[in-house]
Amino acid sequence: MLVPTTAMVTALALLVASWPGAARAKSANVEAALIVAGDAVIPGLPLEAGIRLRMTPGWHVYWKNPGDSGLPPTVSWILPEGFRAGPIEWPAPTRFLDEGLVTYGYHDEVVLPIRIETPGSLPGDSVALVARVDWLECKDICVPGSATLRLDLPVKAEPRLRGWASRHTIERARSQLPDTVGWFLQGESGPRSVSLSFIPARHNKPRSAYFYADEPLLVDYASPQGFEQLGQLWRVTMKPDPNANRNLDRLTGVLVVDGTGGSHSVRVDVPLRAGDPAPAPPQPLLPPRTPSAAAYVAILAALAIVVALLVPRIVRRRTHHN
Amino acid sequence: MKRMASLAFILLFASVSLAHAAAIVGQRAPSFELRDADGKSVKLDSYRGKYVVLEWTNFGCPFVGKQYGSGNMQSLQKKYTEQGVVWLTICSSAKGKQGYVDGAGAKEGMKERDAAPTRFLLDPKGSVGKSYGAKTTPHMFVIDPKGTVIYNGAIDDKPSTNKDDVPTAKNYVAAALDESMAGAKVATSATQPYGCSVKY
Repeated sequence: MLVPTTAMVTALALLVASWPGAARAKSANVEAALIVAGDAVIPGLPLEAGIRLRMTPGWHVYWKNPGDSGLPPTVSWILPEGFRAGPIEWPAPTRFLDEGLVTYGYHDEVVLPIRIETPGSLPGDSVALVARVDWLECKDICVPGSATLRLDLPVKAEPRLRGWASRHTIERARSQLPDTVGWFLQGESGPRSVSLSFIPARHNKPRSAYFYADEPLLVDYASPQGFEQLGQLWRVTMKPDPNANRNLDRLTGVLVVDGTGGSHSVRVDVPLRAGDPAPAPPQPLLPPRTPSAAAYVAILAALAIVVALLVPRIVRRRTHHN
Repeated sequence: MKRMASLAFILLFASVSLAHAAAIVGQRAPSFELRDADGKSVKLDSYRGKYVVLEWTNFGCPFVGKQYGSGNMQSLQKKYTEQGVVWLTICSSAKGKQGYVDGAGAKEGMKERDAAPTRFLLDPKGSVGKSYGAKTTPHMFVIDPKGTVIYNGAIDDKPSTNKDDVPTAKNYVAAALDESMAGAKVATSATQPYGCSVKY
């Protein structure tokens, strides 16, 4: 057992204080940033932090279970004494199809929220948070990326709530995390399929649904998932992985439902009961297309051009009539 | 009669197109015949009676780089081929995609890395890769002397591109070979492979 001595603590504090780096860094295709929802550390209050990854269009990073290939991002921290970083709280992923293989992850931009517990009292007037982030960025090929991110924050007694841009970013990311309560969920597993029956928490008529399994070797990622309505319930069915581990007694993951009320997700952690659910009619492998931010920008730009071309003509015509 | 035949054809076609091929642990390994880097034909069935390791590779992939850069893959190849194991390295990258090699490229890549498989097999059409359900590079399979798949999955239990993880990782291929050769049951016979996607 290693007992931290004063010398070790001092050495660690010095190491943290002298650690070089910025809160932002860029690899070939991903810009990583360490952000916090505030302008200071308030002793004893949790610090809402996050790793924001912005990707070059066409590139993606992975969810905690990457699917057929890939690797999830990891974060290791160097924090002052008494600070404790929680795990990454994973937003609902999307999926990618690559030559018959299906992978799970994020494109364009993702914020991975992480809550950091702080000690009740802090000796100095500022602290340094250092996060080493590793990820795999992929398009048609994959490249490992990493960044050492450092953020210096003053220690204050009172939070300043307004005027801190990252606060909004992190609050939005947290509000979009999968629900944890309010849904009816039931898992079943048999030789033909693994199924998840559900009733959404919100009044939302599901049009499609997809289950992202936490556990490796449970479902065959490259097979389309089935979807059907059974009276009051909806059900997603998945083809078991041919080498599936049959001893699993819980179904864990994230269910994403697209319906009349938009897209909603829920954290799933339910007993996996034995049964023999029949596969439901298959859905397309890829999610329903939603225009990306870049597409919106392109549409707006096109509109702006049309307006710019038409307005002078209309104005000219009016002037002519007058 | 004609109708029955066409129905049978449709059913057959439907079942073939829906089935995802895979090497299933406990079942017979799918047979194949491929050309090696020297252009010689190699049949899996000709190795019946020996242990066979299949290693999917792509020299451009950082996960393959981790195993070769650390010297781990080469030392596994040497250690087990000396014990009579047949080690087949297979590249299923399509022409024009990352990792694609012809015979000369494969030999050059092996020489650069001091790699020592029994053979390096070329599968540019990806048909053997798909029949095994090879998803990543590396993706490893172990076949016993009876031709049964005894391991399908990752090379080890440390999914990363970091060479420093190799010494502390549990190597599933070595474990499967050691256990099976000692007459024991393979404790971990299937895992989720990790790495780059196979560039079919």
